[in-house]
Amino acid sequence: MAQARILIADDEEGIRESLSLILSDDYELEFAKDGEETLTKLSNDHFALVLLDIKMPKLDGLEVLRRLKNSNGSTPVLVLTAYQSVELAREAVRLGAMDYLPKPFEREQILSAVRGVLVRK
Amino acid sequence: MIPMFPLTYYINAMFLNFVCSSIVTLLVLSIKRDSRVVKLFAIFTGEIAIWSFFYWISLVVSDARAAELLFRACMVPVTLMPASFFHFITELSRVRVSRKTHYANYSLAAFFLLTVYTRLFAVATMKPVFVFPYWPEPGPIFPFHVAHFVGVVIVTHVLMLKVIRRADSQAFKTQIAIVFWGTLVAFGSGITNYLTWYRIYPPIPSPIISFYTVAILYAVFRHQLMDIRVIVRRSLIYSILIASITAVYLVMVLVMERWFQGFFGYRSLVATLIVAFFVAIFFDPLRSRIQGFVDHILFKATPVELAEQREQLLAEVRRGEQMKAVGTLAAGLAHEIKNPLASIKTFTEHLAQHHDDPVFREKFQKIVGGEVERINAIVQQLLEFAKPVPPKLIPVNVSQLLDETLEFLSNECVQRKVELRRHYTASGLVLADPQQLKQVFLNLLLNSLQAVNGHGELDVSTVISGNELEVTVADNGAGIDPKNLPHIFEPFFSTKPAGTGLGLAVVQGIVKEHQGRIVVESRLGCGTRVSIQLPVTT
Repeated sequence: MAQARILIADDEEGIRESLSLILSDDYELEFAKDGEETLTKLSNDHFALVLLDIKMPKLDGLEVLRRLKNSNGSTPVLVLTAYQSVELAREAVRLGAMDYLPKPFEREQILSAVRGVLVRK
Repeated sequence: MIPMFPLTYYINAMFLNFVCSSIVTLLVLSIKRDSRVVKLFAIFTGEIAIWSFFYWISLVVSDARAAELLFRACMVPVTLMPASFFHFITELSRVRVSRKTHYANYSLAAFFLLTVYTRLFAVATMKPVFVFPYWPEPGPIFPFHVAHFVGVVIVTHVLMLKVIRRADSQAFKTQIAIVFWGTLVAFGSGITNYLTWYRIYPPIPSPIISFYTVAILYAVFRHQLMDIRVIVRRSLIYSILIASITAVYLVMVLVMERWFQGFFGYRSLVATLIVAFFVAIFFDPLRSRIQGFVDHILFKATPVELAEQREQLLAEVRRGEQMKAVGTLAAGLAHEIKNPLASIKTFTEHLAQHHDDPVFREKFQKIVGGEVERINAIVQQLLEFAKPVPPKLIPVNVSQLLDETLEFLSNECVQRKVELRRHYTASGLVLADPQQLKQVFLNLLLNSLQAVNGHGELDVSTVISGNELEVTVADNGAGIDPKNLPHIFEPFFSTKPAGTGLGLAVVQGIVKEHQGRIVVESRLGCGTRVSIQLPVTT
């Protein structure tokens, strides 16, 4: 059975590598380093899920969500961020994010959230 | 024998009443128009003003028919007053009253209003009563209107008493108490007009009604009634009082002059001077007494106490700002550290599982090692920002320092293909810490190099302007987004992928420590210009 493709969008190499460690056994992974690259990859290819950081250069995560919403994008998005802000969480969910996960994260937390989204899909 | 005041007394009193009520209405509306309770208050005092106006005019006309029409006109707001007064007080006192009660009150008032110009309310015949040349006779509906008016006034004042007794807040209690006494005295005087309708007694002099305006104004200025906050300058109050006292004394001098002339038949300059001399002697002690009285009544503190209170308030505001800044700093720091911590945490969790994988070990070393260094750098910069090392000031040749810094960055310029241009027109010295100033220049130059991003231009210039030396670093790079520009000096604000966001915050701190200023101008797509002004040493 083909593995689900997940796009990991984060400007931090350490975070990309960490998520790769957690998810690479079960999923096919693709990476983006900024908001613009994220949107380019989403428009050119199909992904089952996006793990999206908020603070990124060029376009931040909220702007990516906004543009996806405006273009009626259907790819589910999980937001990962080191900001701990209720307002930010609300805004992300309002813009269409499925869930909001804080950094640092637990391995099981990531796996459970990803499975949950893919099952719902 | 019933004591009576002359008609002119009532005429002047009603005019005063009209003026005072109008002033209070307009003043309160001008300060705060958007509040419901203020609007209700304005309606109530507006009714008093209209009543006073028509009452006043009705006393000066010489025609019975005109007097009758004016009397009826002045009763129009009176029929509405019970409902509007009750509504205002319940809103002010925050007492919950059902809409049905208000509707019933307003409906009754409206009914009486509709009868005002009919014989049911008042008979058309106007007859002399006491000192008044014309006064109407009550119609059959009139006693019911009186009962409505008096009944509602009593009920509303009883309500205010209950609110005063039950109130938790002393400030709120004081506000309601002042309104209670002000309106009680005013209504107590105004209601006596009904006795005149039945020829029982002449009304109590109406200037007392204006007492409520004084009470309301006092409650507004001193106790923020209706949440109206007015800052009254002490000097304004003093000026008004001193001007009033001076006017009184001038009148005294003139009166004495006239008396002397009347008594002796001629004017004497000596007599005027003697009076003025006595006035001057008593002027200053009286002025001091009045200032003390104003301090005690209106400001409840002496100037020294007020200055201390102001200092306390300012200190509290500064503490609040500091706590806010600390909060922002903490949030920024937390965000900057959580990212590297996330990487370190994940890699260490996977160490047991992958420790014999050489690829994993290489990544572990690179990532974990790098993130630890990163956390260290953030903490170090934060320490520099939070507790800057006091600069060791010596005369520094800024142009020379700039050249040394640019020499350090020469490879970077070549790699990024940046054309570097220098214009040093100033040769002044500044008192500065050379290491800290070099850090400032390095930071600004690096920012510009990163912004230019290949085939760009970097201009570095110095110029003397007055007693300041201005250093400018300008590039034709990407520029700064206008929405980010106000935040660039905030700690942990960064638009760069690897930026901690403390660089410019540290730069600003160093410049301030050197008694200098930093100004940034930028246009998106055109470039950025950073100017630092430093005092020149002689």
